[in-house]
Amino acid sequence: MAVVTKTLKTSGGDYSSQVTWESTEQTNLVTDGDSHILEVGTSGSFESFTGNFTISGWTTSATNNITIRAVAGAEHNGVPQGGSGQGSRFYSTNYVCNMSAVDIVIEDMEMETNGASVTGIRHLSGSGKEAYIERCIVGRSGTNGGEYSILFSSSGVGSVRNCLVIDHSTAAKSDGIYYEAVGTGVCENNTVNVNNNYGVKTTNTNVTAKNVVSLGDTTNDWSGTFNASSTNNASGDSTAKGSSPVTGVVLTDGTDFTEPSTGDYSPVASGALDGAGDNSVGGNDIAGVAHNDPPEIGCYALAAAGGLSIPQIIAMTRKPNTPLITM
Amino acid sequence: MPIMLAKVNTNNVPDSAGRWRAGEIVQAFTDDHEFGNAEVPEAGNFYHVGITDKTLEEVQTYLQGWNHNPTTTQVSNQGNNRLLEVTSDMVSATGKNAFTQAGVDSLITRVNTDYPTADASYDSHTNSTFRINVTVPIGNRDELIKIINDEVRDMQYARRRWYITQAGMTFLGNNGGTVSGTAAQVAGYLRDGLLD
Repeated sequence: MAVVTKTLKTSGGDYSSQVTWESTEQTNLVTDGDSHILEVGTSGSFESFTGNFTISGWTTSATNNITIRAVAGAEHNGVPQGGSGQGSRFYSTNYVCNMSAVDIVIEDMEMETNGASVTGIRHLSGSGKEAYIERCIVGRSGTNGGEYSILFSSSGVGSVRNCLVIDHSTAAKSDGIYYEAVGTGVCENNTVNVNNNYGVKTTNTNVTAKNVVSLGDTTNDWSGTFNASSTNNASGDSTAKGSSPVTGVVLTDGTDFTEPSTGDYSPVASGALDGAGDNSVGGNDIAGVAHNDPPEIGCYALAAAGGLSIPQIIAMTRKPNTPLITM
Repeated sequence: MPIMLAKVNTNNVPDSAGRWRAGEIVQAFTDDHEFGNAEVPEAGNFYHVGITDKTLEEVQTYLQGWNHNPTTTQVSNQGNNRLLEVTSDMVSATGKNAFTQAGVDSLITRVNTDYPTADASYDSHTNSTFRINVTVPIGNRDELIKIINDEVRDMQYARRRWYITQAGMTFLGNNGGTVSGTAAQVAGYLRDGLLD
């Protein structure tokens, strides 16, 4: 099986737009016998690509799939909008990544929408199709809102792991992660801070949530009936799902998170999230740094003591070519 | 001057609403944009069409997807049982993007998934309208209508509503894949699918 790799850069790449990439490379990966990788950005830089982006009409499978990932050295390091000195972002005033009937992996990307009544990342239809979202920052950068930051509505796999989901819009009914219909739903080590409506929501029982913190919502931080194996989740209110829930998490700077008022959602030592996770999951956090054992709840590993901020430590210790998790 | 990129060839994938077709306007950029290696005319993937008297914002209309644009009204009711009519102005004169029985049935399934208590069921349809029965109290009617409109808006016919005509594609092919002109000059080679 061949792996076809294309590059998306502001200068010197195969493509300068995710929309032109998709329209050109759209193919039947199964009959081609290929998988396809789009590497986004330039090592050591922050690059943002704007476009109403849809992926559909491809033929894919679990092995003949599509991967969209930040190129090595252009990961966001857990800090939005180039705050760590680098990053690869898709931005839209409409759908930022609207996927229909494709098997796909999205890694280390930043996905932002500022659209009214549109979803950020959406995976729709297609029997058995699989979507894996790993170490991404997803959310809204403005005050427009409505719909979902991440929506799964496919009978296959919908997986979100080690992601930061932020929606501070003032519009009503903006949910964080919504598993509308999935065969298998995975929600692990995510941090969800959504102002309006629900943080993490499911309408079926095939979703397993572990080590996820959701808070700040005007309705409920969690909604729906999750798989019985769900465990070690946290909320600001009393709605955290599964066994061993942690409730009453607060957004006050320095209590449970380092400085959420400025976007630093890393956990505070001895706070409610420190070491409170289930160690059946873990791996690398949103910045590619290994979670501790027992792991933290949320998408950030607790930094070693020493007085530096989490983003600074990550920037200094992350090796550009560190292998990334693949499913 | 904005530059619009049009597909040179129809992609070799199974026919579907998501399939990119020759002549469709994929994206637009400013004329100082640095194109990727696969985006320049020489690569054979795109024709470049410059519009000398329009802004980038003004040509965004040619990037519009061909989806439905629904309006939903209540036709009648008996208590909470209501008959709703959905109308779309995105059906062409010859019936392209027309509602079908299968399409309406599929939409009803999705509405019932999103809003199980609605118990939506099929009543009738024409090319540009359909009627469904729903059960919803007046206080939640607008919420249900929004869900219906969102689902209808997702029903796609083609990636783009506008396209370059065959005559325009031939002209572009004979001129190195790049032309520019005023909007009036280019208009003869641009076609609104709704007129088909």
